[in-house]
Amino acid sequence: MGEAFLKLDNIRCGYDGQDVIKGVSMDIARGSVLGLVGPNGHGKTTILRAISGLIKLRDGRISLGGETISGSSADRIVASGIAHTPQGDLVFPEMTINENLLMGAYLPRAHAHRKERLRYVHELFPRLKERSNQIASGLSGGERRMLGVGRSLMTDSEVLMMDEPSLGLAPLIIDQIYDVIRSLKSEGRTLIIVEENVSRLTDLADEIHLLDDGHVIWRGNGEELVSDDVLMRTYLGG
Amino acid sequence: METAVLVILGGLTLGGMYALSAIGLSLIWGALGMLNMAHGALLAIGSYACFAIFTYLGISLIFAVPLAMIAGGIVGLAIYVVIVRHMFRHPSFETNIIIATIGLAIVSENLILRFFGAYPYKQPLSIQGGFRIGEIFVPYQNLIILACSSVLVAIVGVLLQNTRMGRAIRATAMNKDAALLMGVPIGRVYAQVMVFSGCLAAVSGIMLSTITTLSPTMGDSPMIKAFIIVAVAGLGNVYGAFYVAIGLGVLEAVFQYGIGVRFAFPALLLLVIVSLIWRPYGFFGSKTVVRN
Repeated sequence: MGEAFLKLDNIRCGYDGQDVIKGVSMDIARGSVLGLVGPNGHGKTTILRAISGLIKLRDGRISLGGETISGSSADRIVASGIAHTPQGDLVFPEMTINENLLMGAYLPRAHAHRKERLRYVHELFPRLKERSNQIASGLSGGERRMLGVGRSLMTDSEVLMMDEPSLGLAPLIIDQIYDVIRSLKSEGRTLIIVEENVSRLTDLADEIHLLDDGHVIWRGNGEELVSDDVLMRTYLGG
Repeated sequence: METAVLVILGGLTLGGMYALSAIGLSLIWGALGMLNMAHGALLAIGSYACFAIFTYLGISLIFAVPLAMIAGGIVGLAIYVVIVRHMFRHPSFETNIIIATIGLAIVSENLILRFFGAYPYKQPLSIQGGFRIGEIFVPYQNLIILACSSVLVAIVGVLLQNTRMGRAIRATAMNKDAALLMGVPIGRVYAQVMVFSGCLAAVSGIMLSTITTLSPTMGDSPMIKAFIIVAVAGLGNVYGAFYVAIGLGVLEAVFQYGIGVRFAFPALLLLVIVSLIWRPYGFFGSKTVVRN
């Protein structure tokens, strides 16, 4: 990988006084795709929450383009160019699809280009355009995921983090979501994807990190990971 | 027939005043998960501010009302900056803030008493007279209150529905983490909501004082009614609060006419208790409200 654009330097963080992430460092190059895999409850989601500022670091430093972002509030981190599609999507249930998407363009930088961004998201997810005035609470799981990803794209951020984009979805919808992720990669976005289903990352991620008990215990590419029977059986149920 | 029209007109007037107060409370609950027990004090502050600006500073009522609203907004902001902001992250926030705002209301009522005394001043904004439609006498004051509250509620609706700030307030009320991830500075949203609520409480207080008199505790009873409205509508549901305010205002007027002023409020409370047993999350609320 090239020079680090997003850099995690020995970070520690967690919940209720307990460290979930116990000293993790990562260098993510601009335009690259990083896959985070590992057993449930071992810190993948927590890393994304730490990067986006939803939880504070106990130690270490996170920087984006050389500027320290750890310690900043979540809204400032978003403004610096990091979008996060969290697990469960966190759509605004009583807003329409269009209102949800417009919330993605809340920041002045994105707000100025909201119409173009909306057209772009509608092209990627025509279903969201068809149902633009529908209230989000009535959406199916797949539609919610499309809305979650679409809303992140509205932020026009350079770094996109997606937490389990395929979780609980039908294979056809997963294919659709991953088609969009691939097109984002070809646009040169920097992507961090947390995924249970390693096979989805093998041909997509430039690098995969395997997390166990709050540590990165393995780094490599997708082919190396799937060819390692011990790792697959021990950590990934393969 | 005339009586029915008058009772309904009176009820709509009451409902309009309650709506402004209840919407402010509902916004605060929705965004901050906070029961503001100083809301009644904000009503009193708004009405005394209007009275003082006109009477002591000699400023025209056209400016006195907006200035009083600004005063209410400033007090709302001060409550956020001085108290709420420091308590918000604590796990016991919901209980602590009730106690803190009760204290604040007591202090504020005593300060008003200290500066203005207990004399029941008349709000200079009262407009006497009215007009007749057939046999029905329609007081100007009721119509003005109704028109003002309708316009203000419509403005609040447009602000919440169609502006970037309004969407941010609604988003924060629905899911704070998601709002943060969209870049919404939720601290600023909380402050905006407190200012907004203070302005609405002030104008509600001014309206109330035009049909009663000024007193330091004048906001207590409307605040209790506003809490009832917010609970019956469903905590945090702004539009529901408006509909319920109008409905309860009319019901109160009907009860006052039917069984007398003394028993109208207890009868209304009885109805509210039954409705909350039937729908504990309110008519427009979702089944659970979790502060996150």
